[in-house]
Amino acid sequence: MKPMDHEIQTQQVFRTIMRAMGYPGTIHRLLNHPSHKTRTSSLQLVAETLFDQDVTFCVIGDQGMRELEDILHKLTNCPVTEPSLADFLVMTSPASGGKLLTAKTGIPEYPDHGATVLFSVESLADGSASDFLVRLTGPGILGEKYIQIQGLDREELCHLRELNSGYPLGIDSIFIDQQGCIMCIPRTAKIQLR
Amino acid sequence: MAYVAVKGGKVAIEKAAKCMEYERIKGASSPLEVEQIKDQLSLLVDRVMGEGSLYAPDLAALAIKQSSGDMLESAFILRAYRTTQPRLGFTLPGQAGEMRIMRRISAAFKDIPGGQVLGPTPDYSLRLMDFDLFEDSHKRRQEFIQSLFRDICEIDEMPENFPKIVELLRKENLLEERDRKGSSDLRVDDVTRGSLTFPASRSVSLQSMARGETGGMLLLAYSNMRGYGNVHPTVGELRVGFMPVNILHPYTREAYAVGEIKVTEAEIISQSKTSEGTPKFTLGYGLCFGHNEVKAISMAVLDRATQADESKAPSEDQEFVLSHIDGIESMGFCNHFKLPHYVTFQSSLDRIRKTQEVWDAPEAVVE
Amino acid sequence: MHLKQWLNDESHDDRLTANYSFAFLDEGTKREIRRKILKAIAIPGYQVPFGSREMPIARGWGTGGLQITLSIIGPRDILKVIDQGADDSVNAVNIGRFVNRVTGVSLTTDTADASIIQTRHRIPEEPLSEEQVLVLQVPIPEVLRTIEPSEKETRRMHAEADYSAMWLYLYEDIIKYREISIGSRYPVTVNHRYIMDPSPIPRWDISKLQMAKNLFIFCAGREKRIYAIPPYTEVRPLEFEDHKFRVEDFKGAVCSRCGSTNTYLDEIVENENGMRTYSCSDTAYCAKAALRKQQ
Repeated sequence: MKPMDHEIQTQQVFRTIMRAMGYPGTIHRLLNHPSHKTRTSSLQLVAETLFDQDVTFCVIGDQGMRELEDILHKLTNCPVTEPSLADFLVMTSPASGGKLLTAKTGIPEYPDHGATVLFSVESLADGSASDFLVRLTGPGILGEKYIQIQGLDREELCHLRELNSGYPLGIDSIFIDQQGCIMCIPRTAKIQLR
Repeated sequence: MAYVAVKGGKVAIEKAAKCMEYERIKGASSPLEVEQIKDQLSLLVDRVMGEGSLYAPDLAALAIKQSSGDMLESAFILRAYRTTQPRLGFTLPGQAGEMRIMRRISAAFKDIPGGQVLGPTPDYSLRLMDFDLFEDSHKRRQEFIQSLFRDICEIDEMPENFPKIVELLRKENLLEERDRKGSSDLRVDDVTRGSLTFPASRSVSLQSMARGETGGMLLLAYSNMRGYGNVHPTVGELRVGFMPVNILHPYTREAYAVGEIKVTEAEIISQSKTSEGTPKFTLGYGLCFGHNEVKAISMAVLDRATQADESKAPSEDQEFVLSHIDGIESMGFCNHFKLPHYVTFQSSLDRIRKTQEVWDAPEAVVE
Repeated sequence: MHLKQWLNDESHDDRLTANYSFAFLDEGTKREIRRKILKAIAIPGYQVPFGSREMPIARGWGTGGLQITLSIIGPRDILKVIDQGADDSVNAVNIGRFVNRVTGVSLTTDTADASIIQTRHRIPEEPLSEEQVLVLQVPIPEVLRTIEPSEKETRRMHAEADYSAMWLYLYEDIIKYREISIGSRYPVTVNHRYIMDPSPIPRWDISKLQMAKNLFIFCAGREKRIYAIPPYTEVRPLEFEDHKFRVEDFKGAVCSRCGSTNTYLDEIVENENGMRTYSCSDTAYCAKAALRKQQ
């Protein structure tokens, strides 16, 4: 891919992420390109857009973490560090074994130092008042939003809610599914679980 | 009904740029060559490189030509160009001992190892107008150069090295090595990749000042020297010369020189009391591109001043100093007041008229 | 080490001939700004520090707004740039020309057609949609700056939500003038937490920030701060029970071009006798309205 085409692709990916963060709970296709449907390549697209040598990341989960860290590091030059120091955490399994709770949430003078978590899940779908895993309210949401998430333990969402209970400290989340779709939950969103 | 014409902005700015160029070229004199500016206005080029934060004499000379000699504009043009250049890597730390000396003096001692090398300086000249320069010519220049070298009987060898004066003081244990604000972390921050937060680390402070505007820094340093502050500096050492630029060779992983840059380095010595109450010397450090002694000395004074335990004067307030010495920022903000502000002014008009109304109104119940 | 990468990169010859990136900024710069935009959206009204780059236009002239626009814009975007509400203002034209030159993006004066609107000191009269982003140029991002010159101190005040000094300032204003005398840059509370400087937009435009459909991104280039208001967010001007927030009063003046009575008006002094006419500050809106009136 020519350098400028790559730049434009990254720009489009970013706009989608920005849209998703501004309108939490809404689901967006990353790119309309059919080859970017697998979980790994969607994750790579997001990593390429946001990671570089000026930030840090790590992969948490229960398998294949080191390999994925290697792949993403080579792709972006982003240094790997431990979960409590990482600017970006990538979660590739339904459970983190409590590691998610160690993510940094920022300090009162600089709440923006709180981490961003990329949750790699199976699927994201709109829910309804009678059929949802997560109900969101808050900035960016008119009224409320219901979402269904497959491939993430309910407990992790409890952890997320706990991490974000001391606003403005908290973490911000980007959910990426295997169909090439993303959804965001910034720390401002109030999470209610089924 | 009156109609207000609001069109024509695009044409106006195009014409304004052309007008600017016309002012520059309308005279009868021959076009200035960039080479001429580089050679014959070298101190101006040095200053612009320092403030533009890009060591590129040809480009600095071009910027000076393009801006008709406006120093702030020139530095700005260079800085804007700098932004477009990719970051290839970082050099190895420079060692001042490696400097190829052009000029090296100390006010602290009458004589120093290596000697006082005056080099090119106007410091001792009489500032009398040289009207002869109206009749400058190649021939006169050649004659001057010939006579200069003709009169030299023998050439002394430059000393092998010039030991640093501060090292001598350090050996005698006269220099205080304090743990200063932010200096405990050895990480080098990059001031072009983040924004100023306070207290700023030493690397951020020095970088900001190295690319600071000479006049602004002189103003703040002068205020300290005059008494709005406590530095009382002595120039421990001032050096002007060429520093090699070394990088780590990508294949051999050894130090590899890619060129050299002219820099001015100033170390000032000031007195202070240690925590135990004994007096010691403390150091202030200044370094900038090119030959710019006023800036290097001012920087060294401000480096020392902003390390003060208590800031009782503006020059001792690190946040005050670092927030106001960038020429590109200050000039931009100053100039921005020329932009239309009529909407915000309208809002203020409304408020003033309203408060007058309320003030003049019969006494309402307002507590 | 980047030098090795550069030497290995086959396209370095292009770079030697000063081939700019898409939208002028290099990818590293865009990435940092993009990361910071996301954090700004996640913490509405909080000022995120960033490594603001020098641009070919001067500091104070919109380098902040420009960096945001260049970091988010794509070839399919349509850009509108206004200054004091006018598309034809020299500074707006200059910025628009520059962005067009480094992106090829189409420019428009029609608010409804634009996907990105970069603005200095006004919010367009026509409400924006979810498909649109408003980028605001900010000279001084710190709402508490008039009360407290130190950045270290204002950061502490925001961290502790210690805004008593601001309330005191407003109270003293009322005691002195019987009215809150702040014109533009009127302080607002965002998402019940941060007090924010909405940039020097007139009070008239403050209500447009409240529960809007679109995203607002604010950026100060010289002061190096990015902040944002997401859509559908509570944004309330500071006021007292007995001294409510009030917008500018045009006392029934009417736009001399389109006849509008519900827009922010520019006051134009016609002659030495002080005769005045008024016209919409939002020139594009005015042109549309005038056209409608004709038909």
